[in-house]
Amino acid sequence: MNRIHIIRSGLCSTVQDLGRAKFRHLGVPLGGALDSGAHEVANRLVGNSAHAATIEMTLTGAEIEFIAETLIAITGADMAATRHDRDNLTQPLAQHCPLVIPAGSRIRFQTARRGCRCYLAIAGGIDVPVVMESRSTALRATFGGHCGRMLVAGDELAIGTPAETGRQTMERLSAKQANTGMPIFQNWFVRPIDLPHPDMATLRIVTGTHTSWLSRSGLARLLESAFRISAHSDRMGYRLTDQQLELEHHAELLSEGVIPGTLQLPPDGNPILLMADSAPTGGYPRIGHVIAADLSIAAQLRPGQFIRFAMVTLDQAQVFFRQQRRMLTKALRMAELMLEH
Amino acid sequence: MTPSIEPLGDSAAIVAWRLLDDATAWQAVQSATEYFDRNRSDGVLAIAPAFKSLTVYYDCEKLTWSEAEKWILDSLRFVPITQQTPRRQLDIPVCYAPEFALDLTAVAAAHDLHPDEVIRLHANANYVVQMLGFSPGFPYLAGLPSQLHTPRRASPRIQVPAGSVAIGGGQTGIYSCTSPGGWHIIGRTPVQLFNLQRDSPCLLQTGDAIRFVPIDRQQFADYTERT
Repeated sequence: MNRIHIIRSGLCSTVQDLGRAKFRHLGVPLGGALDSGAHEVANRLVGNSAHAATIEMTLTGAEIEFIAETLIAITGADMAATRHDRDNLTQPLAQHCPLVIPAGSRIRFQTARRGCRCYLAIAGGIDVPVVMESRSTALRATFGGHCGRMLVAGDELAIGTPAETGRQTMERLSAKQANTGMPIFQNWFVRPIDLPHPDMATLRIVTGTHTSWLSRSGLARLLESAFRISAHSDRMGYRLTDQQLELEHHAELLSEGVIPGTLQLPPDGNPILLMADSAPTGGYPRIGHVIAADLSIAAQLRPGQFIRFAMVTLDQAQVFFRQQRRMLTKALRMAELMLEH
Repeated sequence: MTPSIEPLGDSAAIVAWRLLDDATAWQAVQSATEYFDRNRSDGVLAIAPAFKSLTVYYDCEKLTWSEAEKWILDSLRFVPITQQTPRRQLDIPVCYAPEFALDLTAVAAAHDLHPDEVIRLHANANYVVQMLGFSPGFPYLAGLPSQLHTPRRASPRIQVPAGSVAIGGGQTGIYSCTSPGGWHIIGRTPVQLFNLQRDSPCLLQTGDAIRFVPIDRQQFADYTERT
């Protein structure tokens, strides 16, 4: 069975898949890759299903050693990945296309030049135990993934058996690069979203149950001002600063369901954008929700950067999501055709 | 009574009985959750109950909002009105010793009670698990005597040990995992509320009836050693 070694862990590297959608009634967070689009593309490029586990790296990437020849794909944030062989030859690696990494190579991921979260998919998937129907790391509850925690130097991860398409892609690419021994790049790539601009990004939102509780100036500020992503931001949620929003109406709320993308407003007036590891319920007013089509962009935002919100209707939000899925499906089908030739 | 149906972003909906009293709303939520969950249609991913509401998660690639709303409306017509009695009665041992009960004296002082009186009141009440939330297997319990209702701590603790029994407002609960928390800690149970080694990782289920049984340090240590 194939394995990889973690030489250096990076800031917050975890094993993730698409999460635990069916356990929220038990208080279990959804979890899963924050940029699920990048995660899915990386998987599909190596012949995996979207549900296979990848490694999600945050801001600063890992260094990983490959024991055997392995088919991989790198998507999401640009961490300037390079491959180093035993003679210490350095080769920059392309993102968003399948690559065959020769046995004994190490891949070094640096600090992200753009975006925040980078995904490494390996044909066969990261083979950690399935807990509650998922391989995702639940960091706060410390289960799932690799030992319920972030990866650390010295960890060894098992790789599953590649699917038939993954095996064929690997054979084909491996034969093509046999004489150089270096991964060859494709003249195409599949990138689900453009990474957000590092200074200012826009997230589209729909109204929440309590948007109408905002004061007139609070609503204007929500839609017209720039918010800063605070350094106190993680997989559970992003704290937004620089703008305080006030409510016109106040009431104690009972805990109700929340989802990734929900904008909660705690009493201090600084909104919190909930991400995939948030608890499935919350008791603060819900003043909006980032639309599903923009959650990948949200996942790629960096602490310290500025964002704005733009309001769309629920119908528009769902149309955007379906368009995004259709384009992705089409691009992945094209990629499959290219790989067969 | 017809509940309100509201979008929760573009991929979920909240069905809420906010105007009903606590007990009636809770019954409505339980009945609807059970029926919805058993009759999920294609595109409906999961149902999760809260106190007076439930959340329907759907795949917005497959269902539009109007389709999801229609499914909810149609389903609501068939929800049977069932008078549910608590499914199970469980005793949870709690050690109220000072090293575990970090806020017991503060809670006692807030109500002008002796700490022993707080323990007596807390351990003599009957509770019902209203929902699981906050962290995996964390039970929100109804039934806290009104003499013990205590507003949450002004600043939450960064780390509350797993097993801590706590009071937050009019509710009591048990921290199922070590996590940050703003409730007042008045004891600790040696019982594991969330344990993946068990077939069903969460010890408690919504609807369970709970009693707290005081134990001393020795019993706490014995229990911990046994498990």
